[in-house]
Amino acid sequence: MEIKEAQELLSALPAREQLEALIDYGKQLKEFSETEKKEENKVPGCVSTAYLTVEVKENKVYFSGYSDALTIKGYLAILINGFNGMNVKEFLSTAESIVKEFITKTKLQASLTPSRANTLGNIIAIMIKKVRQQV
Amino acid sequence: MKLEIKDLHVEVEGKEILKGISLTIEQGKVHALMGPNGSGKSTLANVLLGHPKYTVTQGKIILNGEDITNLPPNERASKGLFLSFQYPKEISGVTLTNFLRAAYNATHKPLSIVDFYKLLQEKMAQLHVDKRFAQRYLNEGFSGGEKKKAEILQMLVLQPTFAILDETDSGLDVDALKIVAEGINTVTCKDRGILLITHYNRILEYITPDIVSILQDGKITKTGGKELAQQIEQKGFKEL
Repeated sequence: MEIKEAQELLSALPAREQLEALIDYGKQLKEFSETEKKEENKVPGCVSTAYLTVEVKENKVYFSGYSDALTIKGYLAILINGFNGMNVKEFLSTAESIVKEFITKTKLQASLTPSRANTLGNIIAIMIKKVRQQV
Repeated sequence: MKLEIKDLHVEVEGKEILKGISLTIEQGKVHALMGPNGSGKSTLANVLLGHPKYTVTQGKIILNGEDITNLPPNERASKGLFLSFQYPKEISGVTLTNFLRAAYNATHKPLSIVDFYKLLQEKMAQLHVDKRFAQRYLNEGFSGGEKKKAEILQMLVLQPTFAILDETDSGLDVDALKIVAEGINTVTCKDRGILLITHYNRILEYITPDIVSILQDGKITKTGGKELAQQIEQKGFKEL
């Protein structure tokens, strides 16, 4: 799934349906290992609990994630499915702007509480930080 | 599978409009119904879907062996009937996406919003409909051609068993007519029957009917093959 595709869908929907779609995306999130649900994998600044791990294989990024909040699961699914398999260099140089555009175009902040809306920024920041630590 | 109209008599406000119509629309066939203004074409289209303004005084409408003459419109739609309006209504506050998704989920196994949107995008691309239409209110501010395209989009999304297209070609320019005809041809298959109601031969240049019937003064006066449509174009309805 492309992030652009999710961006297009979410931009076309009114607020209530945006949440429904986010929850729908969340169902695409793959299972997250119980042993990885530890402090060091927590996404900081998130009201609800969210975890994120990254693995760099053959110069490509592979993320896994989990959250107990349905909308956050949706964010994680969109970002993880969108970025997984991307070249490290490309990820580091484009990820932030891709997510910035996603936030602006979908106007998701309007349908979520401020803390939930900030989560997307927190997730991408931690994604970038974790990838940098590995290369 | 077929849609049978048997000796149908229909009144509006005490005036008889349809005076004993019998027609059979078969799956996999395109049946063109042609007739002059006021002959009862739109009355037939509306009464097939159960418009409450019309009263059936005699005769029956049978869908796949089941008498549906007295069923409400939503039940007829659930059984696979579809009507494309001659004058589509504008519904403010209801987006095209939400309207179509509600209609789809009421008649099919419900799809998630993400899967439905993918289906909608695919059908919109097929009809060359701008993506932005998905978030616009149903028909509000649409041009005549856009409204007709939105009707055909509904048909592509809902995939009915029998589609009644009431003057879908009216108000379309040549390019829009071609696109709409392509859309109709896409859904024409062995599983679907189409009753194509029209004034003119024009749309039949792009869609080949299997059967052509002529409706005049509430009665079917002639039935034939596609050549009948050409004769109408040359001679007019009166001479036939």
